[in-house]
Amino acid sequence: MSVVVKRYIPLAITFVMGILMVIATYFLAPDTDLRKGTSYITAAVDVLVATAGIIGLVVLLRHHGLNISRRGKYWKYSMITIIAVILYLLVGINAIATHEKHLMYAQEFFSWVYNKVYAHMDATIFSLLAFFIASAAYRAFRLRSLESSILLVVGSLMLLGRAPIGGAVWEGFPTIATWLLNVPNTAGNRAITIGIAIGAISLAVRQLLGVERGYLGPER
Amino acid sequence: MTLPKISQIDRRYLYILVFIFVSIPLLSPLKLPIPVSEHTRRVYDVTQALPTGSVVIESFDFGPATITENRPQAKAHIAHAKHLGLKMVVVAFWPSGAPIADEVLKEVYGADFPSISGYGTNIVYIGYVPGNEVGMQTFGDNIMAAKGIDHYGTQLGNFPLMQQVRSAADIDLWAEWTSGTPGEQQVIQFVQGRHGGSSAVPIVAGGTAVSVPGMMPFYQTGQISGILNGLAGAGEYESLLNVAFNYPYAQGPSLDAQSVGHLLIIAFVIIGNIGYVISKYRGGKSS
Amino acid sequence: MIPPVGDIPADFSLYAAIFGVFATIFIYSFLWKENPLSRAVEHLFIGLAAVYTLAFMYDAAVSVAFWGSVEEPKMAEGNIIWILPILISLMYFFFFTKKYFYLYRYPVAIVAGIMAGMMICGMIQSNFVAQIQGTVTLPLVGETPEGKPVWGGWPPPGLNSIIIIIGVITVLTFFFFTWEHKGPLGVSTKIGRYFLMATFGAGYGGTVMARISLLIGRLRFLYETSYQDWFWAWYLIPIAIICVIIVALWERSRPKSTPPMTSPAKPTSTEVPPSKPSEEPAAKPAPAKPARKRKSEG
Repeated sequence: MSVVVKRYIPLAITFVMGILMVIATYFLAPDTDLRKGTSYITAAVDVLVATAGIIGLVVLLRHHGLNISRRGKYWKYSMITIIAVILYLLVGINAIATHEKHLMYAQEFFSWVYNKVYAHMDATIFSLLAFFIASAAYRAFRLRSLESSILLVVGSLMLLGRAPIGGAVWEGFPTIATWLLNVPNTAGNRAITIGIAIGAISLAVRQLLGVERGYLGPER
Repeated sequence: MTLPKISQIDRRYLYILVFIFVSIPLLSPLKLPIPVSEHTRRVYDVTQALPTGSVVIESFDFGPATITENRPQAKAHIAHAKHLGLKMVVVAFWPSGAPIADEVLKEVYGADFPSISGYGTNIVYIGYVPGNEVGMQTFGDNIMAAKGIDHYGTQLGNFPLMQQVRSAADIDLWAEWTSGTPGEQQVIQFVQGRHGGSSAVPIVAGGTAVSVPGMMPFYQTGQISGILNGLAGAGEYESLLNVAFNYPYAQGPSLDAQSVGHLLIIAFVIIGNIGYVISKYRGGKSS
Repeated sequence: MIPPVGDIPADFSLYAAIFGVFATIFIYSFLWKENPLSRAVEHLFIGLAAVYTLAFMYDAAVSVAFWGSVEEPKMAEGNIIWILPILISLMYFFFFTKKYFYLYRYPVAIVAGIMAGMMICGMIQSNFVAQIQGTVTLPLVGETPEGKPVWGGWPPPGLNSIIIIIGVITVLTFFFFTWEHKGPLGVSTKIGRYFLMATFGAGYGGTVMARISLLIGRLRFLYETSYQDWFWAWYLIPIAIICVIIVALWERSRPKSTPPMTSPAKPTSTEVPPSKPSEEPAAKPAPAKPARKRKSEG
C-alpha cells in the first residue's frame, strides 16, 4: 500500500495528465468546450509551475541561516543576505497591504526597488561575461585543426558582418554574415533542432509510461 | 616581452583593454553608417503591412540581464505599432519582464500610463502571466483563464479590447522579445501550432545575438516572419523608424562601441594565435 | 557643477543612481581581485533575488487563482474550486520532511505530466514535422514574377537550398552513434562536422556580440545617467575605485584568522557556498601553506 501511495500513484497522475494533454490537442477540435476546459487545467497548473521555486528559496535561506549560526565562512556576508531579504520582504508586505488587489509585483514601490536596485546588479553581473569572453578569445581560441579554423573564421566573419564597421570597411561583410546565418547555420541548427525534438519526445514518452522516474526525487 | 609570452599575458590587462576600448566610442561616437539586414527589414515590413486596428501581442520575455538588447527592440516595435494605430495586448511570461514592460509603456505613452485615453480600447497591459510554457499555452487558448486582471488590478472583462481578444485566434501578430525560455520556440510550439500555424498567428521575434542563430531554422520555414538580431537589430529597426516617423535613433553610440569591441576580439584572437604558433614553432625547433 | 547643499532634492532617483554606480564598480572590481565590497554586493543581490522569486510566486497564485472576471470567475468571484491549486502547491513543503516526503511528488507529478504531454504535442509539429517539411520543400530553381522556373544564372538559384539539404542530412548522420563512422557514413559525418563547426562559429559570433552588448549597456548607464542635469553618474567612478582600493588594502592588512570550521565537522547540511560563479582568481594556488586564507579572505 505504501509503495502504491509513494510511487505508483504519482506515476499514474503523470500518465493521466499527459494523456489528457495529448487527447485534448489531437482529438478535440479547437473550438469545442471540452478543449477550452483543458485551459482551466493548465491555468491551475500555472500556479504549480510558478510556486515550484519555493524549495530553492527555502534551501537558500536555510543555508545562509546555518552559516550565520555556525559562524561559517563569510558568515558576515550571509548576514547581508538575510538583512536584504528582511528589508525587501517588508517592502513586499507593504505592497500587499497598499495595492488594490494585494499584489506584490505590481505595486509601485516594490517595482521601483526592483528596477532601480536589483536590475543594476543583475545586469552588471551578467555583463562580466564580456570580459571573460575577451579573455577566452585571447587565451583559449586556437587554430589547431581544420574544424577549429572553420569555427573561428565563420565567427570572425559574423563579428565583422553584424557590426556597422564591417559594412563601412567592405560592403560584402554584411552580405556574407547574412548568408552564413541563412544557409550553413540554418542547416546545422535545423539538424540540432530535429535531434532535440526526437530526444525530448522520447523522454516525454518515457516519463508518461513511468520508465523515467528521476523527476520524482530520491527514495526516502 | 617576447611574442610567445604575449599569448600568456595576465587576463586582468585584457579586461582593462576591453573596458577602455569599448568606452571610447561611447564618449566620442564614430557615427558609422548602419546597413539594415534582411531580417530586420522583414520585421518592419510585416508590421507595416498590418491594417489599422489589427491586434498585436507584445510579449516581454526577458530580464534585466539582457535589457540592453531586448528593451530597445520592444520599445521601438511598440512605438511603431502605436504610430500605425494597431491595438496592443502587452504581456510578460517572465516575471522580470513585467516591471520592464511597465517602464517602457510609460516611456512610450507618457508617465500617466495607464491613466490615458485609449487604455482598454487600444492597449491593455496584462502584466506577468505565470506558468512559463504552460502559461503560454493557457494564454493562447483562453486569455482570461490564464489571468483575470491586468497588471494594475483591473478586471480584464472591463476592457472592450479584451472582449474582442479572447485567445490567440483573435490576434494578427505576436511580437516576442526574448532572451531564453520561454521564448519564441515555445510560442511556436504551444501557441502558433495550436491555432492554425504561421498564417494564422504570425510571429516576429527579437532576441539576443546568442539566440538568433537558433531561430534561423524557424525563420526559413516561415514560422517566424522576421527577426531583430540583438543590439544591432534594435539599432537597424530604430534607423528605419527614424526615417518613417522621426523615431529617436538612440543606438548609434552603442553600435559604434560594438564595432570597436568586435575588432578588439578579432585582434585578441589573432595575437593570441600568433603567440601560440611562434611558441609551438620554437618549442619544436629546440627539440 | 556642485549645487548648494540646500538645493539637493530628496528624491529616490538620485540615490538609486548613486547606488547603481557603486554596485556596478564594486562588482567589476571582482575582475581584478575578489574583495569584500564585491562579495557584499553579490550577497545583497542574492537576498533581493530571493524575495523577488517569492514575490512572483505569490503574485502567480493570487492573480491566477484568486482574481478572476465575470466571464471567468475565480475565488474572489465565489468560484471556490480555485483554492485547489493553491492547496496542492503547498504540498511542495513536504520536500523538507522525511516521513511525508512522498507527498511532495504529487504536485511534481502533475506538472511533469502536463509538461510531458505538451512537449509531445508541441515538439512534433513545430520542431519535427515543420522542419522536415521546410527542408524538403526548399526551391531548387528560381522563379520569374510570372511563376515560370528559372534554371540558369549565377549563383545557381537552387545552390543555397542544396547546401541546406546536404547540411541537414550530414549533420543528422553525425548524430548516428549506432553505427561506426566509416565508409560513406564516415564521409557524411565528416561533412556534417564541418557544417556543425560553421553553426558553432555563427553561435560564437552571436555570443561575442551579445556579451559586448551587455557591457555597453552598463557603460552607457555609467556615462549617461544624470539627475536633473547637475549630477552625472560618472563623477562617482573614481570615488568607487578608491573605496575598492582602500577596502582591499584594509583586508590585506588584517591578521588572518582561521574560521571555526574545525569544531563540529557536522553533517554537511548544505553544499556550496554562495557566489560560486567564476572562482578562478580566489581558489588559487596555496602551494605550501595550509593557511589557505592567504588569497581568499574569511
